[in-house]
Amino acid sequence: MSEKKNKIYWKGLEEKEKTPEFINSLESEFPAKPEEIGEILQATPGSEVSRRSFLKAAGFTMAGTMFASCARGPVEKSIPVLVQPEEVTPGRAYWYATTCAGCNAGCGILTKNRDGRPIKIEGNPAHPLSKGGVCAVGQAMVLGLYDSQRLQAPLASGQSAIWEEVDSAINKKMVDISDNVYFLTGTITSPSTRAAIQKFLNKFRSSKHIEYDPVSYSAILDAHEKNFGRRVLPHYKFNQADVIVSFDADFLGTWISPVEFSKDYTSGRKLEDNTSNISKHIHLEGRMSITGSNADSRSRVTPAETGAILISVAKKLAKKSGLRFPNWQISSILKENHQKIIDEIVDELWQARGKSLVVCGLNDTGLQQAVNFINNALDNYGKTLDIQRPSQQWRGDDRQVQELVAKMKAGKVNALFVADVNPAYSLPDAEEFNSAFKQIPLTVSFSDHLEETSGLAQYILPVPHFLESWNDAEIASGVFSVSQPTVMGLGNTRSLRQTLNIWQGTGDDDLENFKTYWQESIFPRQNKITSFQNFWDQSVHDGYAEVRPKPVSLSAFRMVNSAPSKILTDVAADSYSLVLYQKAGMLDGRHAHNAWLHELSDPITKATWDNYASMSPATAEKLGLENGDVINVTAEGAALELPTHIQPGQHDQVIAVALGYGRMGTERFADVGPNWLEGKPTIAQGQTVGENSYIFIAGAGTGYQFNNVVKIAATGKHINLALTQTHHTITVPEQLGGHRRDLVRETTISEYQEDPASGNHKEHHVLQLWDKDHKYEGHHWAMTIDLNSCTGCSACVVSCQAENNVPVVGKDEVFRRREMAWLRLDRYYSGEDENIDVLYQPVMCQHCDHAPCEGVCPVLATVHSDEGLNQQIYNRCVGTRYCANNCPYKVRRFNWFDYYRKDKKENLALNPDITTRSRGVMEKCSLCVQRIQEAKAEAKRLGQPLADGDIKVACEQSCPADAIVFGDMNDPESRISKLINDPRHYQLLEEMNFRPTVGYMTKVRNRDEDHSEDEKHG
Amino acid sequence: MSTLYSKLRKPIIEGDKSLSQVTDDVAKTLETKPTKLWWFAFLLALTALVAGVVAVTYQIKMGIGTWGLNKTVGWAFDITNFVFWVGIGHAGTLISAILFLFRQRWRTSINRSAEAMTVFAVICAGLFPIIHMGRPWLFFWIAPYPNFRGPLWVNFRSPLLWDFFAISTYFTISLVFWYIGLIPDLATLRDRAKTKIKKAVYRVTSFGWNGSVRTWNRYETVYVLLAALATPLVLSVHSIVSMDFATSVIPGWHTTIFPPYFVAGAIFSGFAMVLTLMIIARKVLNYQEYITLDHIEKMCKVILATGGIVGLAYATEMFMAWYSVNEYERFVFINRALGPFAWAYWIMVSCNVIIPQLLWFKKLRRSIVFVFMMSIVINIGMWFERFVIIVTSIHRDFLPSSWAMYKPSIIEIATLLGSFGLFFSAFLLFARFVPFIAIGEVKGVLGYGRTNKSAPQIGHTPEPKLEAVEE
Repeated sequence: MSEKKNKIYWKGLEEKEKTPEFINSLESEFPAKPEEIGEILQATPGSEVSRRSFLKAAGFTMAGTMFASCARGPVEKSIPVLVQPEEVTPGRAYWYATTCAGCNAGCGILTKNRDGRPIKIEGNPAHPLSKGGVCAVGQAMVLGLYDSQRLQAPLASGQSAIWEEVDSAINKKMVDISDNVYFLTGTITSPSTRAAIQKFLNKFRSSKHIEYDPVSYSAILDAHEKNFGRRVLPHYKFNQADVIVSFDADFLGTWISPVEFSKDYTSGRKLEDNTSNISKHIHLEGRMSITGSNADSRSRVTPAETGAILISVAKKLAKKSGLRFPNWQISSILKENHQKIIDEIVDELWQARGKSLVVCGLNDTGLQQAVNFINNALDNYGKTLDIQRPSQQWRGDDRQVQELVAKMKAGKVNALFVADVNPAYSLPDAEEFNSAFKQIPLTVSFSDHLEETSGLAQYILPVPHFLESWNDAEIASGVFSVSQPTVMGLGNTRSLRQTLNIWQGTGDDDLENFKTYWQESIFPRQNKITSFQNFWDQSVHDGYAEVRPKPVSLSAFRMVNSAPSKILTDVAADSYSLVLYQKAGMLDGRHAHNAWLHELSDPITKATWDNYASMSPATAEKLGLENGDVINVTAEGAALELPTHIQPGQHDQVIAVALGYGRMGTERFADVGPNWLEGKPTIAQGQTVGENSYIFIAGAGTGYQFNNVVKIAATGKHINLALTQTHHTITVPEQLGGHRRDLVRETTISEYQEDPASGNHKEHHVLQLWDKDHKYEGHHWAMTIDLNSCTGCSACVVSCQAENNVPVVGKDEVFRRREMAWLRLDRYYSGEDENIDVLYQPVMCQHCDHAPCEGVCPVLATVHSDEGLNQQIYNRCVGTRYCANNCPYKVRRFNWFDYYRKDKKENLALNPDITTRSRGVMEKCSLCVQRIQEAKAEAKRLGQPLADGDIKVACEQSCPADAIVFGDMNDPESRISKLINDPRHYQLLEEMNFRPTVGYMTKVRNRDEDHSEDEKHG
Repeated sequence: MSTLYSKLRKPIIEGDKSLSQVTDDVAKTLETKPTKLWWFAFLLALTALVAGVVAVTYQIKMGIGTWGLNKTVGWAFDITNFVFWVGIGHAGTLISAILFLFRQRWRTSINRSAEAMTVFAVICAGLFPIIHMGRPWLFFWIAPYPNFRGPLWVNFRSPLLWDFFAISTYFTISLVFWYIGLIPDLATLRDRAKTKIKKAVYRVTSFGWNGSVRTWNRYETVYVLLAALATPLVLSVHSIVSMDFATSVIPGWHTTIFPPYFVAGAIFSGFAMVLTLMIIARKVLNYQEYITLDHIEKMCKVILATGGIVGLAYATEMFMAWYSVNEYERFVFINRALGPFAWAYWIMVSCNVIIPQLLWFKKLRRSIVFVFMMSIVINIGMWFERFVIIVTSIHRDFLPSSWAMYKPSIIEIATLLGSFGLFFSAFLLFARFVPFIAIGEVKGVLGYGRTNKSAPQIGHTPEPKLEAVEE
């Protein structure tokens, strides 16, 4: 027995012998000894850590991490629009009403928050101006929030610093400064911020707050000052006008407040039945704009001719109305064919007195006076445009900016604070500005990026993204939009108002100061709600407040005789008139860091990732240029090399170049897109996306003119333009038959009134072999797109991209025709040189009931749902691409590469409801199936049937034109069922019997004859 | 030794071969060291194969984006190569199965190598549907097999699935047929083998063949059965491949004429490839007496006939497009002939329809150099036929907004090259290690046992003399 107890078991002879090597090896079997972990945890070398204390420490760390990550919830004090949760439920979406600051228009938006972070921006339907619309830029702002290059902390002389240090350093410098302190900002629509700036500047003698809009509306304001005695920007009401005449104002694209104008404009052109009437839109422009492309009657004229026609119209209307118009000389510019245009405009306007609207996009005070004269002569003031309750969206004053630069050069500026504007980039004489800027004793930039201007400033005090901070915006007199933070600040930033309040010792609680301002200045301007807390809660909840406008005292209309000068000089035969414009995606360049907007295909040119010199086909032919051939554009003192873009419908003597490109910092996009053998970088190393065309701005001393006279010369170089569409007509090429395809149907208003089905006569008799092969007993989802409303603004495209995690693929991939957009905007031209018509057609998966893609997939990765949806199952897809080949609408998108997202921070913008797709997998529009499921689940939870309109798909929600309607066609009372039975309803390729559930409504133009009529029957 | 020949026919095998001569002639290639020319050809083929392997590896690592495809043109080189190689394969099966059933005894000198060609071509073809997938590592998902994902079944409506069945069946039958035919020859090699290893290998691979009458009897029964099994495949495989296109909705693809059109095209291109290979092989391996000018001429006649069908199909397609009054259909065909890919269309028409008309001339049919060049031209033309059908149909379909162009990437070109590398590497190895000509079958057409008793013995110049019959 005792022998048995002492029995020794051994693994090897070494153990049996207990050799020293064996004993050593026993210890070294555990390379990480508990002592070493203890060192890490307790930082006391040598102390033993027991298993228990190790587990405690581990548990604490884990709990701590969890608490820390929970801190990224929404700010407690913000109030979601639909529900007021006691705490956030993970996986549920909460909506917050706030205000878009993508441009100055101040549209009301709702942010969709998931797990404490905004992932989607949608329009706020209750907002009095934007009425639920958001543009492409607004949609893309959620990506800007997660921009990893946004500054996280202040910089002092380029070095990262902490706020206290920067504050005291600036204060120290300010002690010696008692006068000539300037604030140079973009138009500040926030009254609370304006008040803070004013209060700050009041301490200094001859100090001034100067507002500067890179793309300026200064002339409209100045003209009103001349004509009415007040520098106001009218609040235009396109829905009130029966006749709209636009002299080169792109009001549906980028001008003043495009979302509001699109809403109003399209609401004046909706067709209920054939008794409906629509407004008449006459447009004059040199380039091809979104607005021009929607016009009933469009004339292509140079900027000088535009001005001359405008004055001529004013003169004729003066005669008719018995008013006196100054004798401004224009006869040398007017051509023979212009007389017809002038007569048409005068007739139309005169017949629609009080119900017409004339707008002009040229930044020339003389021309704007003429516009005011016309609107006044037609008795439009107070009806289609309001200066009693003017717009507050743009207030920039060009001449004050020019004066400031002059003062800077003279060394008369002691301190310059720059906020929300980037003059070192956007001023035509930026170099002068830069050298003068460096001489100023104190320069502070309130910017969120290291950019052209902030890079020169001594201090950069980064401001938060508008989705991170409290703010307000008075966008029209008495209409206040409220911004609330929808996420905890992602960086250590302070709003401009907060910083100014801290400097003045009025407390660092921004919300308190903000509320105080509202209590003192805005709350008293209404008497509907008596308690401030209620007023506040209501305003924050709704995202806006309407209060009494401040009265505007106006003098009676009078013309000031200051004729437009430079703009009215005709261009010589060997020169071209340069038109600088904004793209719907890029605007003035402030969002140059946003990859979604760079990849957004321009609605007209269909180009991405670049700006270019557009010219008419005739001009290009004359010069022997093709798309992408680089030309040298030279004006007095400025030259740029730009690729050619051939633009049908453009005036032969006009070169159009987009502003907003060539921004510092866009070098970051060099490695966007896949890197492979034949792949080319989106931009060459060290280059920027596009070129800065602000250098061409003319008009020193008088206000900025976005026109110039240029000469062009070929360079022999070539750049690939990344176009998403390369065949531009709906007609097949002449040598291949020249047939017009019946894809976009259109008619004229008079024909429509006679026969609502005009232009939409179905000549095909489609026979069904099995008429009810699928019964669709529950829902049967469908969509219609009203081509008469669609303006081509492309908001839906970005909305879809944001909602469905559509990746950015880079310029080279777009050039290879591999863009991933699930929803594309097809743009077709019809007609010849002078009479080019533009047709837009948003195309996404048509969800065919007889879907050609479904039959051919060998692995059943694309199947039909019992609610009529064509579904794509990503994890089943093996990527044969057979479905895409067999799709007659070519709406399927293949993941050619892993379009993985290097910027991890930007991944926070991903919608957690949607899978991100791996390479080798097909994807396409799902009709926002996640929204359908969410609404169905909610209806089920509430025990109520799903109501029409409960589901709004992403493209539909943000459409500023309300062109898209989604619904259940099994419900006979739904909007969609009514639209499907409308005589204007048709389907793409309906004769092929794919039975798509997405349909279109014919476009109706307000004109007598149809240009494209001949072709149709050709 | 002199042989008795029928005076009615020209002998199939020239040179008045004795039985052992045939064995010696064929086995000689396998028993001697490879020539420099063989090494040169093999290294060339291997280089192309390596290029292809590198290209495909890179493509699988990076994604299909390394090809020149886009959102409009989802297939181009991949499926073109697939259909091209499947088509090549058809000639082999036609020669070995259909011609066998039709008692076309001249097939015996080319059937072995034509079948080998079929097997290798089908291997090349089969690779493309796998590598063309976005996620090729999941290729087995197109096979209906019991699984834990549901179980998730496949889509039996999809022509790609039919392809999977068609190609795998075709490959299996072709391989078995080819191998069964090889067994007697392997036994011959076994008997001649000098080294132990060779002997052992051939013993195993010849399945213990003993040459008894019973063995021959069973062998021939199996051979007939397999020929009967393989015969419908000649028609069905390419019909099914054509349904990839015919069952779609894309104008230019959606064409009911496709199954016969594709089968004729397949035989057309397959015979061209057989000619290419045989003309080289008979010269290099010194088989001029086995693969004679008559063989070449007969194959040329097949080409002329099938080429005629192909030409008719082109014309029918054009006519139907016009006759249908379908604007999309009409456009596709006008666009083929006059659009941006017109060059490819006209290469196709000239190579497949116009130039082969020269084969009406007997002199040209019997000109080795001309026929060789013709066979290359037809191969090029038939590759372009598939390219034209695939690319020109989808690059401009219904909505002009989506029209796009296609340009192959270097990876695609290397992959095409690689498939030729694979094919020729395999074929060259085959020529070294397997009897190039079916020894057993050729012996059957030498004339033994078919003596015309009334005919006199004739000498070494077997010129058929019709008057001899009258005697």
